[in-house]
Amino acid sequence: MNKKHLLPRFWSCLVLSCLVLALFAAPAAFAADAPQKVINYANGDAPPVLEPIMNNYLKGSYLVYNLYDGLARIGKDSKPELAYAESYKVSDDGLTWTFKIRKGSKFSDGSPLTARDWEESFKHRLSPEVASPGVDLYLFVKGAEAYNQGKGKVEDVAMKALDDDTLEITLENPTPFFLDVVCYYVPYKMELVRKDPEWFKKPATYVGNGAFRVKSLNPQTGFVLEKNPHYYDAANVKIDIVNYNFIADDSIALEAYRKGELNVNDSINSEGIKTFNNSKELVIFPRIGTTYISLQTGNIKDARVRKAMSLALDREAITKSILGVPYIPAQGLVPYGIHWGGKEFRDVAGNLVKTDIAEAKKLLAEAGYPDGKGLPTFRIITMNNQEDTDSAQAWQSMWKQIGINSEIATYESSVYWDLIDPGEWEAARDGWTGDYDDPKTNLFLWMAYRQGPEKDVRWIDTPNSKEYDRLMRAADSELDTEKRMSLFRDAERTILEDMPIIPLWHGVEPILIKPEVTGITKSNIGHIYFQYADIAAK
Amino acid sequence: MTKYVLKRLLAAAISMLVLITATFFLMHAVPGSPFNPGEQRNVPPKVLENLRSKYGLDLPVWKQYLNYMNSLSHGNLGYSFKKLNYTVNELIVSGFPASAVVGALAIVAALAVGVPLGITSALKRGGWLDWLSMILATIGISMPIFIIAILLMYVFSMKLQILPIYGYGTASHLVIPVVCLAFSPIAYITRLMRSSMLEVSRQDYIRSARARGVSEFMVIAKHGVRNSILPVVTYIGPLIAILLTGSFVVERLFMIPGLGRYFVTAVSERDYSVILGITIFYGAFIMLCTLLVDIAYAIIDPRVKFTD
Repeated sequence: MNKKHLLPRFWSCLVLSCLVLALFAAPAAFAADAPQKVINYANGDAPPVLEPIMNNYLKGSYLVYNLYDGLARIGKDSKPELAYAESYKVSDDGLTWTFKIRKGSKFSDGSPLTARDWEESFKHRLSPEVASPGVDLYLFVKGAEAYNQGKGKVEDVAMKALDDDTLEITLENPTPFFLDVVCYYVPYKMELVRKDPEWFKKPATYVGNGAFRVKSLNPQTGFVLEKNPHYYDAANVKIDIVNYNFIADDSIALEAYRKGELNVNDSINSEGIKTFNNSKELVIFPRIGTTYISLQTGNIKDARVRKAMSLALDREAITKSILGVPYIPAQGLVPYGIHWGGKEFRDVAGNLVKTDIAEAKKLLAEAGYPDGKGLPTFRIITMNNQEDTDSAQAWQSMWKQIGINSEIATYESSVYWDLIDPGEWEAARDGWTGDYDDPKTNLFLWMAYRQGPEKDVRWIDTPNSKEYDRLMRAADSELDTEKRMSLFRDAERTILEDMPIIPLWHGVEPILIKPEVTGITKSNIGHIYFQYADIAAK
Repeated sequence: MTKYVLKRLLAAAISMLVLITATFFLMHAVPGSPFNPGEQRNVPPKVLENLRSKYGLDLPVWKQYLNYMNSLSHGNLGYSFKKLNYTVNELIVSGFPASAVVGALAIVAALAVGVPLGITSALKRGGWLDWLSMILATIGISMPIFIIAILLMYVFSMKLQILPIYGYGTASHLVIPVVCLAFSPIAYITRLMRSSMLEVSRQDYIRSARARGVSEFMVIAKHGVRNSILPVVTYIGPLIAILLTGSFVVERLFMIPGLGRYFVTAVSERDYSVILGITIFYGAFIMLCTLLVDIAYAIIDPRVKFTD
């Protein structure tokens, strides 16, 4: 063969084979057409924990509560409604709750689910050997905390199956919002959990009782959920398949959504919010969380300086102009979505957080630091993501206006949370999303028993902190809603008068939903529910 | 030969020990930890304590090191701290296949394009193909992989809509990641092959082969390529190790369930056992590949002898 003919022939062969390959490959992208109703969902990278018992992460819960249902569940209107319990009774002292379990309840593999399964799963999760991190909602039950911390016996945990259909729970304190809490008491098929420690790695043993069950799973790419035929309310579940994809990069998820590879996108960044700002596809749910700045009260001892720092911040500008996210500028610590009777707690308690530069300057001068003279450079610590660094730069420039100088140090999250405790900082980004519709879910964070061992780190031993603790404890044992809520309102005022923390904004949950998908529900803590969803024919 | 291999294996074992020890202590010296009270605020302190002792994190670092080496000697890389109840061995077994498929395809593509392109540009020095290969090589060497990835994604997934944006499973999912991974190796291989081919084609034995009347094809294939491919083989050894064990950027960008993604997340979450496990796996793989390359030298080039 001649050299002249050899090379062109080689190259044309290569190009041709590439074309052929591409032709074979291209149709595969469109092959996944099925007559079923399918949700293609993404919410960031894989949750760190895929096992419900060890899960303590919001993202893990998104998955778990589509696979499991509690005695109650979050309804279409995001409020709790009875689920596996068909009725319940509360004793006069508000302490004993008796639940009647729905007859014929089944696990997702079709086996019976009785009151005894609820009791057994509950106690398993509390056991100190299991060391489940997500037990905070379990500690409402009498004897639970002692058992969990290895100080009490399992027999003293006051959750008992009286027979197959009756479950009696006795609480530590009267808890008017307990129906919210039991949404998160879910049963495991303990027979499988005990027999096979790897049960949650295989669809066959990943047995739940929710609207969906696991069809297949890959800890890196995602879960495929299918409708659970044994669900008590299966007749009302319209969706056949939920593809729960793990996509680490928000921009990729956004493109996949634009292209139609996803029809529900729950990992939306500010670029996505700007793009879809005027579209009906951008749906914003409230979330009962508040983002705030923790101030190092050991280093900034004068409350007037702390208050000046709060007054200098323009929260509207931070959320709308700088971050471009529809957060609600904070008006206090208790966020929207927490109710006082029929009204929003926030609306009744009023706006406790203002912007007033003149007042801020006046307070600084009164404290002996006119125009910030005499104050050291404050150290701001924050996590190294875009939103947190942008936000910290905004505080820095707003504090500069009243003469307070600061420097910013950013850390990745695993380092950040280790640095919070030693407290070598003046201002740190912090935040909390509650669990139930009651102010306590946000306000308990600053109760004395929760303050760290290093006393200068946390808010402790000031007249206000003592009064705060007294009010919070009084609210705990108060049965009358009106009085209880007033106590919380006073507690919130007490802490904000001392300003150990500066509220920034209340959380929201923006999500992109294609117009043909209806009935996507999010609870007030951000969990997504697919069981009420439907997809209209195009 | 056997003596040589044994010697190399011994050296590899020593490097491995150094690698493990250095990684272990460096990792623990970096601030941050897998279970910290700040992040998990609603976890009672007692539970956090239980978790830390369950994973041996309450022991002094040197004790943790001895424990780790002990379980490693049984082939056990331990439990992941963050992917609860998953062992590191399990994660490697689940992540390696995807990384290996993408990597192997990229190596095949790099060789299939790079070697002929290098030969062609050497033979037609100064021709348009030579210029094209020069441009490609410069781009391939200087442009970061994520730029190439995003460009390809923009053109083929978003504008032309013929390839999916992310995912793993069908052939179409593999196209962009493989092209991305192969791009820079193609550039290197082309340049290596070109310069070495140029040098070889000036040798006397090529001239004498031609003088003997050997066909041009045989001159290039038998005498030219065989003698000029050695630098490419040297480069291919570590390349195989790098590509087969997964690319951090490409796997994260395209959501490929491979080893690289585990590694990136493990580092930011301080998942100590996963960081170490993957480092060990990766280190062993590189050592194996370089050893194989050295053996391959002797097969390709009879001048190389296993003596030292």
